[in-house]
Amino acid sequence: MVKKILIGLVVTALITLVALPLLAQQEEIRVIYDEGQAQATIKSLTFQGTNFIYLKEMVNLFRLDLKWDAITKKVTLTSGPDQVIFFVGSPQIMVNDKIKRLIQPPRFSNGAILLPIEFLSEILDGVLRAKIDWDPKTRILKVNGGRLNIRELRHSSYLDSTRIVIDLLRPLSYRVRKDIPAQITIDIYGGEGNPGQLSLEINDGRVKNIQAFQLPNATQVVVRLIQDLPYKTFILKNPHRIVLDINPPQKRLGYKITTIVIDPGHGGKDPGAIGKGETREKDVVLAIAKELKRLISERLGIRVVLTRTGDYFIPLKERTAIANNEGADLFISIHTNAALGRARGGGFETYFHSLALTENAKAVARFENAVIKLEKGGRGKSMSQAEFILWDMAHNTYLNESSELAILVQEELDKKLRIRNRKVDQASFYVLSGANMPSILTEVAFISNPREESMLRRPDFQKRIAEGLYNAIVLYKRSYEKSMGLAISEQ
Amino acid sequence: MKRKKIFIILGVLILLIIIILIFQRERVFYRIPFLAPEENVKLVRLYFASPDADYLKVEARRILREEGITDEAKVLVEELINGPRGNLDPTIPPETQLRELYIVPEEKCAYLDFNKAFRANHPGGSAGELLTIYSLVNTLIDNLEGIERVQILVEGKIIETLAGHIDTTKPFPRNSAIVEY
Repeated sequence: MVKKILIGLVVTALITLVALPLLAQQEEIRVIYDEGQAQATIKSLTFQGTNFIYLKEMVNLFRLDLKWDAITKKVTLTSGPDQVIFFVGSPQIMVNDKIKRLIQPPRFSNGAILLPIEFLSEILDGVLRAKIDWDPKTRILKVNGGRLNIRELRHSSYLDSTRIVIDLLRPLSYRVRKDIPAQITIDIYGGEGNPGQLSLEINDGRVKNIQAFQLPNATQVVVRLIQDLPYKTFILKNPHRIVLDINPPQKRLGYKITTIVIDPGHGGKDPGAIGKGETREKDVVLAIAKELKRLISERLGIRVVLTRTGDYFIPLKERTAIANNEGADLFISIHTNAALGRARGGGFETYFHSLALTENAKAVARFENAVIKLEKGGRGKSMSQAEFILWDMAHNTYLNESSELAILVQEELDKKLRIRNRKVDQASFYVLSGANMPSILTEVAFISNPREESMLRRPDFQKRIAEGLYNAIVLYKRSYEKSMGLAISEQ
Repeated sequence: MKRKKIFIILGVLILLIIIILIFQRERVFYRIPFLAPEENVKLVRLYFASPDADYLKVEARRILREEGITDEAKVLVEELINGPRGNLDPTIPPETQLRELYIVPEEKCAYLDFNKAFRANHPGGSAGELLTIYSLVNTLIDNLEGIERVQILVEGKIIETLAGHIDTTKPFPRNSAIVEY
């Protein structure tokens, strides 16, 4: 009988011992930032009289970078120059190469890593430029300074403008300065950011790069431009963010087409596509471009600039840079097409630039206020493709003009050529992405198709292509200047 | 006499086997799904070019199921390099080799790293580039769980373009406009 009771007691004791950790009390800790400027609550667990918090929550609280090695149980936390390393189960904590000791080691509970609250008040205090105080009576954690309040830097490059967005964790005041040529400086007062995460190489033809500096009382974001461009800044809410638009869309002033840049594709070390009969794309397109230049300057009296006038190599980025520098009103890139396969394609087609539609881009689009206009129509949580294209069009002022020119080119080539009329299409072309004006890329025939290759070699065929392109430019110029003229006379 | 007959029969049999081997070599020498148990076989959609190079079209094919998503992705790319078996046209130069393939689940992105031949032997042209890029992109995204974007690399590096047209510096999402069903 006694034996039975004893066994019963032992079993109960064992169960209690095992179950005790599971019965750990769950409570909440209040976090107060910067003398009450912001508040949050985090979960806490009590084991043997010590308060523990979840590593995950702490990482989010301070925006730390977390690395976890499951084999050695090593945790590495980094924030800018500061680094904290510890092993779950060991009370030793390495803080920027100095070893500190905790009374209670970090531990596991139900697969999560828990840290004693003294980890914050003893270890992290002073690191991360933060002052942390823990009051066990009121269960309040006071954090002053140090918390990163600038989360990240994003940018989007459009056909004619660049948008830079600084994501904040809470509202911060800022000032924009323009005291050095080709440079815009944003001072974010009280900003705490990770300069490494807030620096970007952009090189999109307008913005060179962005570099951030952490000052004692502000974060300085320096935007370096290729040249001085108009800009505007504004602040958006939910989430808080500072937006800087470089060269924001505005109605064009000139309503006459005075300069056209023609870009014969490839050249020099880059022969372009090569036909079975050894015809090289770079030679054919140069001949067509020269003929087109002759037609335009003789008949329209408009200035025409070729991106290359001979057989030499020009990087893609430089081609639109030439057009931008010349203040061109149109950019026309001439190519011959190619494909693998038995027939190796056939026909002519014309493209205009568009960004590849990514889920990510859609999400970003939804984020920005430009889209709120679209969303005001109601319901739409996620944007449809059509809505995104609308948004894309609103941002790329020249998308309409470019597509109009592409359609005209396709129609006029169709009248001149007896090969297949493929289509007008859009895709993300490297050569068109930096153009500050309506721009198209036309593939006048398939050099990989032996029949079309032999046509492309003939000067009369090249001439017909140039005439088709010329006619399209004339029609475009007429309709463009008419619509702009109307717009001006209405004002 | 009897012996001769046996030889003739044997000869005919051997010939038959050779003929069968020639006509069925695809099945015999390539992966042999019809010998594999059904659960080890996966039906995949491969995108190849339509004969006029206008669109991508689907060729369904059975491949052996691979252990992990990375291996499965590699097989898909290899199948695209091998080219179509039906009446569609190839989209990738046959000399191309896949050097490495990484999948980054957090980015939902597959990184494909090709050798120099991928670029050097590419026919060029906007149509050719679009067909090459999106045959890879659509095939991987359609057949693999959790992949939404594909980044193309050559010799381990990001390249501006394949042959001077389409921007390949960023990962591509799926493109349905280029597909004809």
